[in-house]
Amino acid sequence: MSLQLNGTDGVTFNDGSEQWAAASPYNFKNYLINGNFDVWQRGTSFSFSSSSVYTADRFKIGAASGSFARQAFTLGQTEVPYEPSYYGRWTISSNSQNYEMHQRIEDVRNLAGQTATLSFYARRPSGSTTINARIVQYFGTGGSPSSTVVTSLGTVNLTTDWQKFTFTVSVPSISGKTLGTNNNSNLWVGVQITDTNTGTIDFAQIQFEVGDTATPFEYVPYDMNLARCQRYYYKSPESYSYGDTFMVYQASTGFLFNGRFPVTMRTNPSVTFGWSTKYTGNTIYRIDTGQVITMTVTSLPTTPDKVSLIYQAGTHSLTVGTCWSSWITASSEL
Amino acid sequence: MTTYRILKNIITNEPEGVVKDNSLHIPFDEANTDYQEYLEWVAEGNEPEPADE
Repeated sequence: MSLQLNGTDGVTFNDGSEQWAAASPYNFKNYLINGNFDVWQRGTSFSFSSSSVYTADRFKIGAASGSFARQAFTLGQTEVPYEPSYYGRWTISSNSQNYEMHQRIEDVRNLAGQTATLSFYARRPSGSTTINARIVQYFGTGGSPSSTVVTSLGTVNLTTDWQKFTFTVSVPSISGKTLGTNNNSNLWVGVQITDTNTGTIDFAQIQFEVGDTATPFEYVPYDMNLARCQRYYYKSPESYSYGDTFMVYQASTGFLFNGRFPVTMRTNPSVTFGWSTKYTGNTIYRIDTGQVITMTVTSLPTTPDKVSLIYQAGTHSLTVGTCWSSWITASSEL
Repeated sequence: MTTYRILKNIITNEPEGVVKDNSLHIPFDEANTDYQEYLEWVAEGNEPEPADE
């Protein structure tokens, strides 16, 4: 016979500590990364026009026109527990159905055939946009992958006040399915617009976990959260006054490029770099003289760990051994 | 209009990736979603610009 604890104030142990929920048997129980909206490497405000873009790390969002921006919680507020720092505000200025806020969990094997629960806090401060929660099992590309499987979780009944929403779902089994050969399958978790209304929707503390119960939101230290995000995207911090990724001019057209990523990325990443306009434009800066040149890149081999060489077309009459710098981005998002 | 230009490996002189709009340097890695997008662009009948020498 199992022992049941039905108290409403948790369990008090001999040392006086209280526990309010069963300890999770799972480390990193939240399959979503950055569900607390703590990491914003790309910036803190984004606009979109008939497109979807990556915003807060790991979250891709769109609308016919609109924006997504970081907002700060007031200290001491009690509507969303555990004093989160930020929430995300999705503004839908004009709309057609089916735009979505979602995150792609690497590997469609995750949670397949299991019961899982999505939970999050949300409110709609203005407008009347309606949304539906859903998951999508995507089997990747290459070869003959199985077709995508979409499972609706239900309507999110928004009001102007923060509410916690919980959806439990039986994630379909992938028995008999075929993965693509390109190692890019994923489980997509999101909320999708279901009408053409405009509005503003706020989200906080998004969690997707094993089981039929929404347990308290999992706190992940910022450094660990950032590292997990950087498996998919890295951007040199703007606080580096001399840029990032130092390069030494080594031959008539080539630079030895010390662009080591802080975390091994999911795959060979796509890379941008620039100095005059940070991160783009292919410009680099000579550290001792301030000279700036624009390169037409002919070769830029990457691995999941680094960019190590860069070659350019033509010559700039540069001095061998000089040191250059730039800011970079690297993306291996799903 | 989107443009792509071929990148060549400096040692083997074989294509190693493409540059999208002279900004985004994309490796030929099938797990890279930007490369998948490039393949779709080619499948639509488009052709990349040749590599700069």
